[in-house]
Amino acid sequence: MANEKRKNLTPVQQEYHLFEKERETKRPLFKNCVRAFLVGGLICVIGQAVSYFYMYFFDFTEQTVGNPTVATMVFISMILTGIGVYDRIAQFAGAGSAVPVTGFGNAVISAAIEHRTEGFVLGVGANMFKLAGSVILFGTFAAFVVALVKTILIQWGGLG
Amino acid sequence: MLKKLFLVLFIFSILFGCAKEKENQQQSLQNFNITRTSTKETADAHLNQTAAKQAVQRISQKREVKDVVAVNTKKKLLLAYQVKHLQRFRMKQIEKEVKEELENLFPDYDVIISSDMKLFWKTEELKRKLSKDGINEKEVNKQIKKLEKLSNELT
Repeated sequence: MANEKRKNLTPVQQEYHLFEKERETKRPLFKNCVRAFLVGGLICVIGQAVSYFYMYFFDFTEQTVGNPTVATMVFISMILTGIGVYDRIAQFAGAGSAVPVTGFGNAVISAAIEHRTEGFVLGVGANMFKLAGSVILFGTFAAFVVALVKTILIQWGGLG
Repeated sequence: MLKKLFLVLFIFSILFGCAKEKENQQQSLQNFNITRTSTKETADAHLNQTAAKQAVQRISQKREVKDVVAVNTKKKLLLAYQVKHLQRFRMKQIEKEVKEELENLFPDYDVIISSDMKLFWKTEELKRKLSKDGINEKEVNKQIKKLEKLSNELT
């Protein structure tokens, strides 16, 4: 808790805060980081293998192979979420499984499963993009801002 | 019992494998002789790869470049290269340098360059086909055109 906030607390509350802090189980930060790194890296290795697969067997170049690779990875994670495997991976890896694009597929399908009991229209349809919607919105918006900055830099800054 | 079966299978596979290899070898040797004595020479004269070889030699001297492969026809020169991993930050600049150098070196050729992995594989394949099977110039031109189109795709 921030220091300014703690000043407003009564002495008893402050005492309790210290008491609580002592007994609180520590978050295994380092271990979580290592796990996220390893599993996230593994997902990226699989993605690289998929993209090489597309480049080798189909007419994709390094430039164009991104789209089918992302689609495949999202599709795989959707299936894994549906059969309940991805939850276990996420439990173990944390951010390592949520930050790569596979986390997007997981967010869509888990919301769809969760609201299945409320019916197709108001349940699945309305809630499917509950979490993924913000990914799409802010992804698009961030892309817009970056494109704007780049355009300004190139047009007036003489960059590139 | 199982061990014996495996042994027999093993021996058979070796025998058949080797037999086939020898046959292949003989065939390719025969091909070699036939092509040497007949039509191949005229085809070779049309498609001599000196420009490609020169280009490969020149570009592979660059510090940033890991591997180069090139194929040329009478009018076109297709060169694909791979950039060392940490130099990939300067990809655009390297591409510009390579293009300029090649255009200065071969002013009468239409120079197509690419640092793409796919293009590298495909050019290598084309080169192998050219030296082994001796496909004709029309076919090579068609392939190069296809690769040029592929390298210009963005999405």
